[in-house]
Amino acid sequence: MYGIAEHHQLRHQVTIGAQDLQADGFGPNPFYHCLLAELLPRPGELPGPPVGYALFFFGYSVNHGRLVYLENLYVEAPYRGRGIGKTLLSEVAKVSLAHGCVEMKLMVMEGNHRAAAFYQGLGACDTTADEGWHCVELGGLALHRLAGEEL
Amino acid sequence: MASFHIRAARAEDCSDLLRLIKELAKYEDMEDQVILTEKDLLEDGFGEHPFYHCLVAEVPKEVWTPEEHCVVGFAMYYFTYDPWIGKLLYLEDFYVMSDYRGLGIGSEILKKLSQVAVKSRCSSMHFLVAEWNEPSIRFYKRRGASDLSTEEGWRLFRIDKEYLLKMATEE
Repeated sequence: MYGIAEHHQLRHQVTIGAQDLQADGFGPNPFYHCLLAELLPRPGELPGPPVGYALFFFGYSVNHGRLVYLENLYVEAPYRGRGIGKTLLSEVAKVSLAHGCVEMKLMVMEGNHRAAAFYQGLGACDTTADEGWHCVELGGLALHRLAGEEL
Repeated sequence: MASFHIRAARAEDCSDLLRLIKELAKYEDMEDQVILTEKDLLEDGFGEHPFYHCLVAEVPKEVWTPEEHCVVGFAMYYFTYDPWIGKLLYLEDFYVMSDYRGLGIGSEILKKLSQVAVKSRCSSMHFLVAEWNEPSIRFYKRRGASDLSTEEGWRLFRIDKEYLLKMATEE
């Protein structure tokens, strides 16, 4: 997680730790699912740490039904260009279809042309550019104010 | 006496939910895109593994719709996860029938959603708004929302099922 944050130069924005990830992903009601990419170790060697991951969860489209939301797809820099990202995405697609999902959604930051090209090459469309959808957030003080809390 | 009441949806609300979903799709000019059925809504929202949660707005008998419906608004949401900050509440859809607007139903639904978010330890609510939908944009901005697409460059991409199938089956 820290790797992807550093990639986007937003490391200071990571506010959860390992305990949160454990409770939220591996409790009785998981909030996310994760696939890890591991290199096959050489004979006699132990497997090394994961070199990439895909973090996703299930959601719902009011018009089309079950969907999967790809929150993060990341491959460590030295291991890019080998098809690991595509394989991870393919595995997420398999899980999605097995759960009856009819679409996948994900965010790409403006300016991340490499990521945009990667997803568009696989059939993704930019619904912000093409259909005018904007992602809106209500958080922090605004959220608590709305909840009617005394601040 | 309150002129409306917001509560969690029940399995028997699915026909009202579908009715309102279709009305909202018509308002957004996407009526032909609604492929969900009542059966899907029932299985997906009230089965063993709910994919969504819903709040509905009910009005008393004296102000029921001409067709005698008492459910006049809904909000559909689910929980999402940002690996940097944890849980978020994602508001998938939110609609109040046009004859029942201006009564504070929308604001009350949003307040209840915020309470759900805070109680579930979500750090914020996320949702999509079409850039041409000025009334909705104003409604949310008045309440302190930020447009992440405009302000931070977030672009929402979608991959349709045919491409998921292609990805899943290619060597």
